[in-house]
Amino acid sequence: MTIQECYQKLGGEFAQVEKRLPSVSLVRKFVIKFLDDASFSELCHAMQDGNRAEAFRAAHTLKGVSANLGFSRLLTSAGALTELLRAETETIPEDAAALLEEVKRDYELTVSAIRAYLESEDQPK
Amino acid sequence: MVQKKHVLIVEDNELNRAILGEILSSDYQVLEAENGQEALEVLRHHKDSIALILLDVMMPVMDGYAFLDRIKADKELSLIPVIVMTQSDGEEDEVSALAHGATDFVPKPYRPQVILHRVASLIKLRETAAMVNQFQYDRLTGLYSKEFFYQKVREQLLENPEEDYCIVCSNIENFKLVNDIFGQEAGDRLLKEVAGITQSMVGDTGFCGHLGADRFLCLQKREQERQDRLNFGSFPEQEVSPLLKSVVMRWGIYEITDRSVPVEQMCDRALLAANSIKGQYNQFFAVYDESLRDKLLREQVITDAMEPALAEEQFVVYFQPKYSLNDDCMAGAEALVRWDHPEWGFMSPGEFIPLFEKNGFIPRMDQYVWEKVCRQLRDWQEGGISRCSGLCECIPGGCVPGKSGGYVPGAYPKVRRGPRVSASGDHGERLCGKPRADHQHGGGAAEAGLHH
Repeated sequence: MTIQECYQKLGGEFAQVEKRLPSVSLVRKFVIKFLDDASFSELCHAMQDGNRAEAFRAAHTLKGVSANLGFSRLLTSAGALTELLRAETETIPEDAAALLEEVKRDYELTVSAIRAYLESEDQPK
Repeated sequence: MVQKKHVLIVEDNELNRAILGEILSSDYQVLEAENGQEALEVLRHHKDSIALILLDVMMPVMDGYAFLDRIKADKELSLIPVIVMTQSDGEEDEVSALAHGATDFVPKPYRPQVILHRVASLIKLRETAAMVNQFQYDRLTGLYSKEFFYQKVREQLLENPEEDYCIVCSNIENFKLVNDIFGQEAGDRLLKEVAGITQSMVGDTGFCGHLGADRFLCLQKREQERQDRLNFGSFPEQEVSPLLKSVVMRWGIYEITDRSVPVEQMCDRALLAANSIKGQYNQFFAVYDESLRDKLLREQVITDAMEPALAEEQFVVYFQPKYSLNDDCMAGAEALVRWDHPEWGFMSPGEFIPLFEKNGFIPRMDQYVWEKVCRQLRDWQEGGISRCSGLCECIPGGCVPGKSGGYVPGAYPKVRRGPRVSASGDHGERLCGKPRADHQHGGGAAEAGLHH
């Protein structure tokens, strides 16, 4: 699997990212690093805890990272959740749960695509 | 190898930090901090080397705005440019960032070329500002430099059309002597001390500049300046160094009435006023008025005319007879010089002798008068007027160097053709009692003698 194919799988825009970062190997490096990124798990925890402010911050960060890496699909759902959580309310709005599910779905898609890409790299051609 | 400049990235997300770091590492040395608190720590150790800060707004443990507020409050840190990384959520973020004192913002997703360009130009801007700062302030005294002082005066006048101001120019009498005798270091220390005192005298209501060497300029509100003059001498005993106690300062004041005059000229006038009391005992202030300017113009006109006047023999020597009461007869004469100018008419020595002493024309004048006198003496002798033994008269400053009290006729070769002139005790008269070098003070004595 090439990295372009990986991007296709996760619903991302490789061409965009390639323009932004100095080299393909760097793109690859950061894509792999995404697997270690904590924002998604932080988001889930915050949502569980009912902490709106934290959830907002985590969603916001996830959105930013997705934007940087060109993960358009994840960017969209994370963005939607971010906007919903932006309003400074005491508790998490009810609609947030549904949006969270979308984020979870897109996140899983993204991560599995990256993992598949990694595995295909390890396999001898 | 030129060291790369340091840039501090303050961002809590590791991935973002890595990406940013990667973008910048080609051109800069990257320092990282996870949140505002950490960033402050890093700044504490590296504040002199960090050229720019890239700041994420959303961070736990001191968010971006709180961090911004903190560094803007610190005198040194506030000078470091800050670029805030915003997410294109709308204008709010950006406006907030700028309102909190951020220098610029860059939206996410990161666009490497844009970031690099913005970082470079902000760093350059700050370096230029630092350089300009150097030109604005005089390095030795910390007061405004000349050009910047002029600029500040212009601004002040523009912003306060109703207020009355004046320019005060001060200089130290014989400052060169101080440098010569005590050395340049002492001279510099003296200047710093004077600058400090001047600044404290002016206070907040005006400002001061260092014009160069021993000259200082101040802008003061007119009322304040007048008050200062009244209170002069009654200042509380300040801790001044012995060196400062032994110098004399003069102040020239130009009261700004005509704002169409260029500031440089206003300062020149104040300087003129200060110079007009140079060497005068117990005179420390002088206020510029039009007569000073007229005097200067007149002096220039005379200076321009002196050479041709000499060539055209416009200077006329008159002989004033002297009568001896003891002997009951004419005892001699005194040679006096007058300038008969074709246009200006008769000019008394008081108008030009001090000026010639000042500008060094006087020896030529001396020589001229000597010749005239000697020729006249020869004429008289040939004409049979007896007892024309000698007449000595000395034009101040024109004494031929030799022992004081005597002079060498031979110094003027032309004179040899005339009669021998000797200094004789009875008929002799010294008008200039002071040594040659002291031309300035000779002026007074000469006037007294020549005005008989």
